[in-house]
Amino acid sequence: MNNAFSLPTRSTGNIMMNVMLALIPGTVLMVYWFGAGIIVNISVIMLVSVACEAFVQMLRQRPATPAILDGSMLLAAWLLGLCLPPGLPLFELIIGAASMSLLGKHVFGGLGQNPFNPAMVGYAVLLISFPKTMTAWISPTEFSQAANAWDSITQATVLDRLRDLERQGLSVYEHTLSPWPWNAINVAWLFGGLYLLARGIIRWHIPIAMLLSAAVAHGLHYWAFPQHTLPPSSMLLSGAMMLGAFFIATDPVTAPSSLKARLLYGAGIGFITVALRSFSNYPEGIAFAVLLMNCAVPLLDRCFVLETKP
Amino acid sequence: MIKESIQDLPGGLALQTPSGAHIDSTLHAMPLQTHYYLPLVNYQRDVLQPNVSVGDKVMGGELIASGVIAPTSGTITQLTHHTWPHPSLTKVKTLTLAADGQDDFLTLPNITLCDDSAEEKLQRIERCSVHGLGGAGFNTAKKIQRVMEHNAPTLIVNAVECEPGINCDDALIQNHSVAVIEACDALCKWLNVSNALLAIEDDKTTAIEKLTQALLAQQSTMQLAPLSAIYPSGAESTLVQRLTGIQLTQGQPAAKFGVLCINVATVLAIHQAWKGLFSAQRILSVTTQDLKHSVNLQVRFGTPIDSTVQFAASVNPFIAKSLNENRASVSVGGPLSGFTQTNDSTPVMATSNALLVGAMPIKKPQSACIRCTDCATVCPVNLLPQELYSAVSAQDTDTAQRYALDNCILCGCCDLVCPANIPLTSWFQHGKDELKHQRAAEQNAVMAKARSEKHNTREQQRALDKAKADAQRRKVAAQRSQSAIDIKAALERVKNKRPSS
Ligand code: SF4
Ligand code: SF4
Repeated sequence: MNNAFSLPTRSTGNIMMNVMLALIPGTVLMVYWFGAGIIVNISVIMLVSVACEAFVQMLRQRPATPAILDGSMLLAAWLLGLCLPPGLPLFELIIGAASMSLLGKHVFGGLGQNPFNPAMVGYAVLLISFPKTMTAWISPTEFSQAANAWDSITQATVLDRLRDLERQGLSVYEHTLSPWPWNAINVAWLFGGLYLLARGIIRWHIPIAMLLSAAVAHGLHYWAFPQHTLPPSSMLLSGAMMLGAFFIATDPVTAPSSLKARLLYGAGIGFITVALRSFSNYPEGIAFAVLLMNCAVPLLDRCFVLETKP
Repeated sequence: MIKESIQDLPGGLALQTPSGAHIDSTLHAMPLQTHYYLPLVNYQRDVLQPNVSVGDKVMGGELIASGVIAPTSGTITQLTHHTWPHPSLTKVKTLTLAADGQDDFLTLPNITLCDDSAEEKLQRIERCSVHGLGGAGFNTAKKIQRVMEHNAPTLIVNAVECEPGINCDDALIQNHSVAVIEACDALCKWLNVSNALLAIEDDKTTAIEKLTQALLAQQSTMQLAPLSAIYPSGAESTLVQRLTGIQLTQGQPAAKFGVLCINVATVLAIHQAWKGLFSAQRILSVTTQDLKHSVNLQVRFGTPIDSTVQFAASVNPFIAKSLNENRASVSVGGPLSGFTQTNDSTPVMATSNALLVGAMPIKKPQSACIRCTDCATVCPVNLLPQELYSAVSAQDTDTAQRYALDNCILCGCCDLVCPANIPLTSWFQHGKDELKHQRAAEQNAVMAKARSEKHNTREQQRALDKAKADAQRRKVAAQRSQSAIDIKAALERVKNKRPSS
């Protein structure tokens, strides 16, 4: 195609680079509070997934370099790395990365063909297989102690803690964990997301629908049982909510195409996330919510075929 | 019916030609060629039967096949298969005309606006072979006939160029603004048009100035409709949508809604046809691949593309330079819809609005679709190209139809923005061709079935008739034998009686 017109044409690699750029502030904050284990997670997963990518491309007799350089696998690896507690055994990291690349992407035919978000596939595999290590987040430490983070007592996140309290029949107000680090991290994701919106890399429909529906669902729950739930404001800034809304649910490959379908898709993820957080055995529901709504994408796409554009 | 404010398209791209582009608006007339190639095919890609045979002498304007006229006088020397300017790069039956250099044309009487009937005017348009000079090459007489069913139709004269790098309409207006307005007015008067618009991009300042002067001088009722230059406004469906808000789907002609959308050069050709001039040439832009230099030529239909480009190179040194570059090639059509032609003597036809010369840009490697929906954002007819692409590349024509492949106007916007560099438009062109074949095959099957059914009923009828006839015959024979027996019996009786007497 002639490109004598100076159109700001983007390339796949360029898009992925921008998303990774937007991930930096939140990642830095996570390293600040959780230590270098986060970096270890991300790097190990990146290495393993790139190796898987190269291996599959070799099997398929296709050049590996462009497939790796398009950045989609690195981005997925980064996202998965952010979702895993630091200090996860190496062997589990490898399983997670391999499931992400092979089960999440390549069994369906590679980039663009996968119905499920690869990072969330990797996460779900790990969570189901190794529930114990996967829910053991170390407590956030100040940077000065981060070097010792490896030794710090593993401790549940706010959401885990809440669940325990609830099981013991105590009210949420008795929890002692400070939500502050998680809130700050979520604000960083939010800023990254706003950057992506401003650059036109993602569109507002999915994140806004997701956050709104999560807020409404949680609000109802809070209104019904104020003793057992966090106030809605802190809910939106807890766990992986913002990461999910701006970086995971917006993955274009696994999201529906048309505008209305995207609103429904986002709303579905928000609702299921809150439902899982409140009523399931798992502390965080985003991964399963995304995977469940991924299942609905073909249906959504079918329902809104000739809808006006996204 | 005309919208108060000009609509913006749901998609489209604001394509800028590079700054410092130099466009030569002078009309350079091409000298007479020795040979002209006349493909026997119409805008619907139907193959036509020639009215002449090899060796015949023809006059300029003579009908050599339905809707095809000789562009000059000369002798038909060949009937061969030859390439024609179509992206399929296929060959069709083509007549070769060797010009005799006299350039004699048939003479036709003038048609006057008030005295002659509508029938005669239409016939004249048909006879002079006026075809849409925009890009689709429709049969103009048919288009007008359709609109005549409506009282007080709307007229949209389309002077919006199809693509950047094409500026033949601009050049025409700059050189013949008065004649253009005259022609528009004549058309308005004839068709009793209620609303007449002349659509043009708002950045063509010289042309707009000339038109404004001409409108004033002629006291014309035409209205100028300057549009922001959003590609692809030049296409009929998008232009009609921007100006009237009517959304045309599935190849619906605007004429169905009482809107006559017609290219500015075509309007002029109609007016000239009434004056007895044949529509045997067009204005064509020859532009460098980087869109920086452009000249406009007056070229007769049938002129080989090679000679056209050589002539352009002789009037503009930059074009000559581009032509001599490495990897230089010539493509037919603008930078978006153009296709590289493979044969130097492919002829210019009514639909050829531009030739691009120069080194082809290096193709970026294609990767997988990441469903970013950039393509859907720019699609001017609200399609989902990514879904269409997966359907077409999987050869799933049903799904492709569900995603309205028919509505795709092959504008190429989706290609331009795709971050994975997927040649979407080529796929859609391919899909449309497939669909067309499939439909033709279905049609054939239906017709064959009808034929065989007819054949069967005929056979049955014949069998029935035969049975009837047989029965009749048997009956007659039986009667006959019965009567023979009767006679015999009677004779017997007579014989028996006789001896007793
Ligand atoms: S622009 Fe290209 S990559 Fe993006 S959805 Fe369309 S076809 Fe796919
Ligand atoms: S080529 Fe077809 S699908 Fe692509 S933007 Fe143009 S009309 Fe839409």
